[in-house]
Amino acid sequence: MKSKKNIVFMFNIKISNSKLEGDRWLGNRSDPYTYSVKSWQKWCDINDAELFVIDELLLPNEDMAIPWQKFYIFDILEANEISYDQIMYVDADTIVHPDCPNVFEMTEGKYTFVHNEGSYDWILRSMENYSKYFFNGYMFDWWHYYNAGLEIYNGKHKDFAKKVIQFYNDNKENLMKVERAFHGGTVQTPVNFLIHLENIDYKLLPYEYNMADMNRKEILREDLAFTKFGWIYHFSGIPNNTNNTLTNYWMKKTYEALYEK
Amino acid sequence: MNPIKNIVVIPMVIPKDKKLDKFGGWEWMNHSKQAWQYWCDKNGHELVIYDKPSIEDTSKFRITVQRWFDIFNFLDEKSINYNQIAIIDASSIPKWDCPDFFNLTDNKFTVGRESDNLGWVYEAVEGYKDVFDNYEFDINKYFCSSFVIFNKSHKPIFDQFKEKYMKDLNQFLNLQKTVRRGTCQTPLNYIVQMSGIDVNYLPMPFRLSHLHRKDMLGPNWQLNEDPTPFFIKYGYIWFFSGFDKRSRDKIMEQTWDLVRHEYEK
Repeated sequence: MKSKKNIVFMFNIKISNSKLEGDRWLGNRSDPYTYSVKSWQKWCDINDAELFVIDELLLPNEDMAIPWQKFYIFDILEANEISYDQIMYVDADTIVHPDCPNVFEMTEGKYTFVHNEGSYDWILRSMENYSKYFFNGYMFDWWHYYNAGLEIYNGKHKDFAKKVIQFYNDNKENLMKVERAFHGGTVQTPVNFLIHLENIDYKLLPYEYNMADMNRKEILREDLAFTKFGWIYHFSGIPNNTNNTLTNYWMKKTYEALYEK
Repeated sequence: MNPIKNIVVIPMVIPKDKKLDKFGGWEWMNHSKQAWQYWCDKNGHELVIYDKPSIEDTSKFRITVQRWFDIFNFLDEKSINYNQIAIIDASSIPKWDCPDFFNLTDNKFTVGRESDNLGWVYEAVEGYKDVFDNYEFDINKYFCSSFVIFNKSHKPIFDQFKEKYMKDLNQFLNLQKTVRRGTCQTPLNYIVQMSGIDVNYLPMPFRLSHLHRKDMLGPNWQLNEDPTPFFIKYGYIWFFSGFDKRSRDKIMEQTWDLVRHEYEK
């Protein structure tokens, strides 16, 4: 076994055909994710962390959507004999600023994430719908609902990851039905519920560490205002983003501004 | 002297120098007043209406600015004895069962974060940078001045605010016209952050603004079981801001029609 390091891991998968509606991994749609990988590689180099990019599916996307598969990370790392301290999952549509402080030092060893600021119509519907169909009407504080595009955990959370997979396997058909019927995300909302129901001790970081839905906040603009006061940019929720064209535009522009000055 | 109470202060002054129809009328203030009166009575606090700014020229010295100049003197002149003070815009309505936020302050300067339109915030902070000697302001700590809780120990902050505003009056008036990013909020943010005082941030439901931007004006249209709009269901204090002010009267009226029965004793 190598010495323990903090790990950043992400998926960068290209799928040539998919039965999933709007699959963002299909064809050229995932092209801009190379900017994400490159930015995280540089951040890892600066912060003595190791980047682990998963470029092959563990299970067919139709059997288990990619976002659920991240909860196999503990098994994957162990199978690859990679010793770890903390693990940060990041979505491949993020770009990190090279000067971003070391977020691993902010976790206090807790499950760590950032509240999902964005469309609360989407968030609250998703919460209420999953609450009704899977969690017997249970609700938690909506302002603690987190965006699953960035989460940090450690060995203490291995059992939790197993419970998430178990939850998926126990409810697979219904999860797929609810996802198709309501379009309220895949893994994000159920895992939000499980965090609370399993009493996982968590820490919320401020918005600057997972800046989702930037267009809504009027900061996704040509002067790249978001790079002046934030650290991790999440290119989600972009309107009129046919075939991820705008994701590609903004990720390329941001990467070049930060790393190819 | 009256017994010591926590007080809620709502500025309710209709400026003489503005056309009354600019903001679609002022009836909305009454809904706010009724709701806050109910909430104060329920929680044992006192509602005070700030209705007399000390400077008559409300064009040069906006109500939003003067309230910070005046607040302590205004209360003293009325012989109001107080513990904590919450100054809240009249464009707000508290939910009938809003928890008592005075219990959440730990006697600190308490506010809600402003992060709805971060583009606006960024431009405001950049716009006022010069007048604050290029201070490196942390935008992630920017707060909204529509709802601020404080106590006597914070008087020096407001004194500093007034002193700075008066000293650089012409610059501030010019910035209000050129930067066009509010009046008092950004200068107050600079003063507070530069002072280094401990700031307490309330959870989001206590300052729910930009309801349209947050997509909270509707209910869960998929389950179709409860027609209550999300902001009413999940917010504690609703701020009717962040949209064309001419529609404020109508939206607050519609909201009040939905909830007024909850405030009838």
